[in-house]
Amino acid sequence: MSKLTKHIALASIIALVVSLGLLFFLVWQIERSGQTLTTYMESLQARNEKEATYSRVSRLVQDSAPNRALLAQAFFSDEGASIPLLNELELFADRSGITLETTGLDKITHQETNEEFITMTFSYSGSYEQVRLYTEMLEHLPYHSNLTDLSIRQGLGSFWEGNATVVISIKPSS
Amino acid sequence: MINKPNINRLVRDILRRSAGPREHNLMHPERDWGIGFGVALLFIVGGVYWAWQTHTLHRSEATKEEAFVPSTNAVYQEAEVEKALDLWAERKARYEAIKIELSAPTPLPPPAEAIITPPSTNNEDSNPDTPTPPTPVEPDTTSPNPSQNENPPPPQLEF
Repeated sequence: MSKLTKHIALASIIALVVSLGLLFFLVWQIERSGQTLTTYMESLQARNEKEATYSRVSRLVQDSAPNRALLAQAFFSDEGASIPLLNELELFADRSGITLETTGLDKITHQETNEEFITMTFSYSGSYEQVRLYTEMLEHLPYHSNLTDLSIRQGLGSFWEGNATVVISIKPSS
Repeated sequence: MINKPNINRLVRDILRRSAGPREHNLMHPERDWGIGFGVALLFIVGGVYWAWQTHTLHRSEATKEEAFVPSTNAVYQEAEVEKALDLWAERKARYEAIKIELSAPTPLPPPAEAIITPPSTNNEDSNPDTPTPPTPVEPDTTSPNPSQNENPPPPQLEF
């Protein structure tokens, strides 16, 4: 084997090793770049999902704002919101010739659900028709409410007396 | 037709080939470089093909991503809200109607239905939640069943 042949063989081996090394390096680079790309794509997908959800929820919030505002009117915002209703009921009873007395006003909290309510107890008297209509009016208060206690009895003469307890929900704080 | 000289020539050719290659120099630089370049070319072509496949795969995923539909759906029970609003509107309308009805002057009851005897105190204490029906002044003697007039049905309270 001549000296030139040995040199050529050595150069060939070196070139082959360098080529293989370069090839594996490029493969490794491509693989790493692929993993980075996958990570970026997952991040991009998560971001797109969040953006889509955000836009969807934003549109939903905007579209449902009037309805939610209407629903919010059916609840007391806080304990002090019961005062205007009490004034309205007393003023209306006075105008209608009904004797009204607010005998109870309290705030209660449900222990399990933490829902808050305002309880108002009224004692009112008048004619039979007045007491009946006033009781029905208490039953149909434009709030998220119900009558939890009701008693009606006939007093002296044609006067009737009624006692009712109304429970109105306080708007839950979000 | 094969004759003897031809057979001898064939035998000589076969024997000459079986003696091995005439050239004993095992190194062929051109051949070896050719093989090396061929192998490298195969690697390059294979790498290009693999890279193209990978690129095509990720480009397809990117294309699919454009048509992404979010899986997270915000829950808004619109039907329930509409039903609640309808109930609330109905209740508010009823409330206003009762207010108007209550503001109207109530006619006095006819004298025949006037109550002459207030309910006894004992009766109220025994059952204060039950309203006592009014007692008519004069029982209707023309009624075929006088016992019904003595105990008229209680008023229908539509609460």
